[in-house]
Amino acid sequence: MSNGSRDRSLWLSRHILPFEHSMRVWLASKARGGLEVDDIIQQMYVILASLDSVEEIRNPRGYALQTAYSVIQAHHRRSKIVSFTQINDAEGFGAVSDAPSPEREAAAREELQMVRDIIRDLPERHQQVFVMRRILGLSHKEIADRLQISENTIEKLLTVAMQLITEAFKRGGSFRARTSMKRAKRDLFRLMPK
Amino acid sequence: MEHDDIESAIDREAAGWVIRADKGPLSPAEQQHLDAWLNADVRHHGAFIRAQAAFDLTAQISIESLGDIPGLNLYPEPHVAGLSRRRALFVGGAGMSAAAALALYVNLESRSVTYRTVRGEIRTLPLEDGSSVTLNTESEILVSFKRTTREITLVRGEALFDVAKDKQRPFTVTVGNTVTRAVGTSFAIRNLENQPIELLVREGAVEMFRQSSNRERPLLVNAYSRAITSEIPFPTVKLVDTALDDAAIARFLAWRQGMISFQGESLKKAADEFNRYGEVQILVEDPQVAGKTVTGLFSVNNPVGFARTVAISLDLKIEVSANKVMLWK
Repeated sequence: MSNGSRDRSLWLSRHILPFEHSMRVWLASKARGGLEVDDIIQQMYVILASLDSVEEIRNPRGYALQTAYSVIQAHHRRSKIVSFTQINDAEGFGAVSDAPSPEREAAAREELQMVRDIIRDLPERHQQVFVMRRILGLSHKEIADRLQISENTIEKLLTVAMQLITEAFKRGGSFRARTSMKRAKRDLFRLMPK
Repeated sequence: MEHDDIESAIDREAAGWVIRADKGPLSPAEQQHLDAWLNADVRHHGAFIRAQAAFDLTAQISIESLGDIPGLNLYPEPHVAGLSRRRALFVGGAGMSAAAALALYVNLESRSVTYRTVRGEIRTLPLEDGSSVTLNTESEILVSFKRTTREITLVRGEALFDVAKDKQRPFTVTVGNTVTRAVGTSFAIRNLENQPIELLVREGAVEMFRQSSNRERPLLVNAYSRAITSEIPFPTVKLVDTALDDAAIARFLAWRQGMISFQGESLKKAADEFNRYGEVQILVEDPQVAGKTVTGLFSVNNPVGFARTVAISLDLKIEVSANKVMLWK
């Protein structure tokens, strides 16, 4: 991966990923006509990853929401569905996306706490291997030696760990539904136009 | 396949590619395979970008900040012949004379020391295990370190603990019947008259529980969170903040630099806070005045300066005598 795309990946991980769950909650109320929230989110990531520059984006989350919204609109245009609620919501978010983001500092810390919690919640074996690779920085071979298991097994354990982690981000950083609902509510509250 | 199953299959494939690419350079055949998969469907591409972003985020976590995880063993015993380190130590212990071993035992079991600060004093003390404790004004702790435990009693006042990591010796702070337990972390506890006991966790995680309540599980308080004791309807502990930022933490711990920070506290509360530190007492008797809010960073040893600033900004009258400052409308 080139340096540029690595930077973009980090930008996405810091600004968009922690916020994904709240976006999903909001999008679930907007997506109609056979459009799935997952599809919208994935297209949004592709669009954000292919932007020339993100330096000018002052409010990444607002920008991401608008991007997601444009995906829905493009879909509706194709399927010729328009409703008043969609137009009203779009106006609401227009105001949000230009606003500075006062909680950016808090968010920058919070997403690290979120990923810590996710790692802490991983199943024991997957957690052990994942922490060795990502946090201690051991190579697959070193882990294999340390645990006396094959490199193939390590790759499998890491893949499942990774899948659990991306899954947890969908739910707001937790495997436990109650916490994630609380978080979603809080994030949505922050997001709504005052 | 149902939509969710398809989604899950895409996520698994994406996770697999991210892990594979992290292991080492892809062969030309693998790269071709990956490119083909990415180009086949915009959802594949999105899932891959997303998984890569999540993966990159995990590298930002340090082992210290992850905190202690029960059951996580990163250093399994190597599969080699010979004595393990633990056994070697045990053999050494048995080799000592009985008298020497007993002396060591008594010494370790009975060492307990009191530290206290007087009004207005703020002091940082190193502890023998490498931890340190900072005592705020009029505070007192009892330190009792044993072979398998590190026990502190906060008799009164407020203290910040920076705890050295030692999995074999949990670090507990007891306040009345409330216990907090940490392994390696940084947290502050406050025990003031007529107020709930308050815990602020700056790093790592701390367990907090009431000794009187054996039906409850300990409350896990993570970094950037605050918890307090509560008596109604029964003695328990509860979280009051879970997403403080660095600025808020710095505000709560401003006392270490001899400062007091207010962010919309009532004047009554602010005056009480100042009155903990010095001989000069700030008095606000009018409830209407006492309810006005105060924001700002002030030096603890200048209560008169604080009172004058408040008087100007809230348009209050002020009278300063030897040990007393009165504020009224």
